[in-house]
Amino acid sequence: MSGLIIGSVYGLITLGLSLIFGVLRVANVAHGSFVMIGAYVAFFGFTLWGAPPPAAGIGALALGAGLGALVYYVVVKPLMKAGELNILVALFALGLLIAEAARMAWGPDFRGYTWSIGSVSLGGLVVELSKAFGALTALVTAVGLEVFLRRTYFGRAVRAVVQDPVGAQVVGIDVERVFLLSTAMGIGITTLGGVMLTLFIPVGINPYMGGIYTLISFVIAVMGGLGSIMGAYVAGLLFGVFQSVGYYVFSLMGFAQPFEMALFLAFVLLLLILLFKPTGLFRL
Amino acid sequence: MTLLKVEHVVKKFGGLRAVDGVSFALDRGEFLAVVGPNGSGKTTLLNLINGVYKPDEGRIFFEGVDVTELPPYKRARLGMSRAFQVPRPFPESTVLDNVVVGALFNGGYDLRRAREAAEEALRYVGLYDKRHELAGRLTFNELRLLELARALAGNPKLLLLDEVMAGLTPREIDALVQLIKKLAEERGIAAISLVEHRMRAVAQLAHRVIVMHQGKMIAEGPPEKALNDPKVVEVYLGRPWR
Amino acid sequence: MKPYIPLGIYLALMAAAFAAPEYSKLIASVAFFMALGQAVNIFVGLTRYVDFGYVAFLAMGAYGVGVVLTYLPGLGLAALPVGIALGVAMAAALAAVVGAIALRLRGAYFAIATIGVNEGLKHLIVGANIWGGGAGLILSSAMFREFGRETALFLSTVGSTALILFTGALAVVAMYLIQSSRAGYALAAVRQDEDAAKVMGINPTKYKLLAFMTSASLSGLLGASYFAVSNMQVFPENVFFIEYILDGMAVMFLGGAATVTGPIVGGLIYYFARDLVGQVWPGAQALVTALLVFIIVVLLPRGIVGTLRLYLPPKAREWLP
Repeated sequence: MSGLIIGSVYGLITLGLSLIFGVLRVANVAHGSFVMIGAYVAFFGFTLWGAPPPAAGIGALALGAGLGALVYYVVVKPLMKAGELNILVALFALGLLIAEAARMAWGPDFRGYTWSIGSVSLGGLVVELSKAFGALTALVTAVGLEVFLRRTYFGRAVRAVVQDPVGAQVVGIDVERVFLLSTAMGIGITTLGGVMLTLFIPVGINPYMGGIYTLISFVIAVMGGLGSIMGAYVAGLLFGVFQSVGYYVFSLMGFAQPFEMALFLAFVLLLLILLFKPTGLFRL
Repeated sequence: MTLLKVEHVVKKFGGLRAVDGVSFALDRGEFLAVVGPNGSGKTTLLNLINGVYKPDEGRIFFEGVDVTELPPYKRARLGMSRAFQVPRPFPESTVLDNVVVGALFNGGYDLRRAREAAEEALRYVGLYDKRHELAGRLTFNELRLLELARALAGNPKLLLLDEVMAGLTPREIDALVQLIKKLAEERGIAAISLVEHRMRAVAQLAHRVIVMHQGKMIAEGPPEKALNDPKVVEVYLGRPWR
Repeated sequence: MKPYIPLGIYLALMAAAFAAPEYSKLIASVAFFMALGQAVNIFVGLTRYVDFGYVAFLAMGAYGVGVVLTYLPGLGLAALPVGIALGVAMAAALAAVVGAIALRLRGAYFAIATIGVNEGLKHLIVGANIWGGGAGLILSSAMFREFGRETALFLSTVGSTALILFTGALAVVAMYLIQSSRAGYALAAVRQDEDAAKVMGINPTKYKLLAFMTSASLSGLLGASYFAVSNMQVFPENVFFIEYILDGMAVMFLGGAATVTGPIVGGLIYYFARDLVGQVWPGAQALVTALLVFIIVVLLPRGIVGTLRLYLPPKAREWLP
């Protein structure tokens, strides 16, 4: 169903959030603003340089990684000791800062573009290839990241830090480098997600779009277990399906704004999960 | 009357058995020292008694009541008080305020009585003159004393002391030891578990000693007997204590 | 602590509003930030938890008045206290529900849980089209009808200014009551070291909830005064404007978190800074605000009054709480 396809991209968007929380124990409340940046990269890439989303994706990945490193040095590292409140507030302010800067630079209007490369018929359902591409990229990234974490030396270092930061140091792991790289990767993947997202929202790009995706990503991340990559991805799929079904049901029930109602429900879901199963719905 | 009874408690972390079937009883006004090398499970045992951890097996009774399922703050209200090894003061509050918290919540006093109790505790440990200082500004030794005052102010029945001697000079240790002895003799009701490496201090204080190794209790009894037990000597690679 | 200086300032400002009504809107705008910082301070300052959905409490207050005026005609002047009471009650109720669930969680999880409150409620109101839905409620005609034209105008200028200042003063009183009771000690312990506090016999959730609901109620009062009474309208886009929590935190951090006088100083500076920005670089207020909060949190976490207090002798400290 189409829910699965967009769900795949939701999962992609959430990967970075989960990673950063797992490694640094920091809840990146500015998450959505990086999605927004990715979206604009895709938009400008396409309209100004005729770059198709795959190319924009690579650019976004690089840009995001750079931004992630910057965020690490400017925000995270100095504030690690000052306490949770300071980091959360600083990140929140950062998110708004980015959104406002975007508004001032690019205007508040809604933008969009369409990348039509045809569609394919899958068992009675018509699927646009562009969307399929987005979903596929998401899957590849998720699996790739998981493999990276499980097979490579650096990946194992990351997992060690997640389990025990002090112990990892004692064993000789450069925890600071792990933090830096995780932040960079996390934000990079998020920005990439923003690019893929644009394939699904032909006219939805605007400076304030981040807020909704921060909320959605947190719901998905908590569902899948904060810090779990495949968990986030699968939860993303679930959420996509849930949203489609919810939208359908709410329209049937005659609500004027079914999309909004589905979001409200997502929030209720978040509260429930945090209350009863804060470690996530499944173990991945 | 038995104040504290610990029955066959086990605590596992993953595959590791930090505390592996420890049992003992403690009477009012009794000093128990729990001795052992690093990693023997002493602090975990303390955490179990305190309620910071819940045991995987076994039960804990305080004044006859089964407290195994109770969270730390409820056990505190029943009369358990804890001083941390690394002092955990509230750095932005004054010395006096730090101790008042102990009296208010451990002891359950009202605000006025709590302030009086706090001042009394501070006088007892010798920190009264510094009561308006911000706790973050004290020296290490003073922080130890503050920690003790805070644990005392609530008039506890059981004081849980976690390696409070570590890092102090011999003079400071002596002073602290005298203070704690005074508490046991004058207040009587407070039984204190001291968790400690340094043999000499332990010997002076304790009525009874428990020696732990890898989560298990390997010796128990009055200091001379427990500390000279062959198993203990092995573990400590030391000479028999005289 | 001796709360007389902050209380005195609020009373003086109230007198000024009555004496010089032409300035009442200006005073209201400054006072809004002060009172907001004051209310936010009671929760964020005392517990060091951050609620990103905080604005919802302002919104509830506003809707309380709005709902009474729109759907319960014929109450006359009584509609005002009834509406305000309803608004405060709704804010407190929301805090009770969200708090009971979310306050058991640790800092970051709590922040995550609250991110959705603001958005969630807004989407509910717009999506289910309740209370005017996306179009909001316009109250001016109802106010003229129920209160009479003269009174209505008075209320929306001097009256609401006085209400906003009253909220600030009330917050000072609340802070005073909390800080001089067991709750004050408990909260100081919980925010400095929650684990140690638990071991010492404190039930953190209980006290966090107290601070949370007090803070929420005050914000409800503020929202009612500022949006409903002063502006005479309640639009979801306005009342759920996420930036207000940022404003609140800016004022609070600028002045000094967990201090009582801090938000007054903070509010004053903040308002005029924004005004300045508005003249020099219009449209950039939000940007500058965010930047300002960011810088303060990183460089001057104690705020102006907070840092000042550190260097005062204990006696003087009492007078600048």
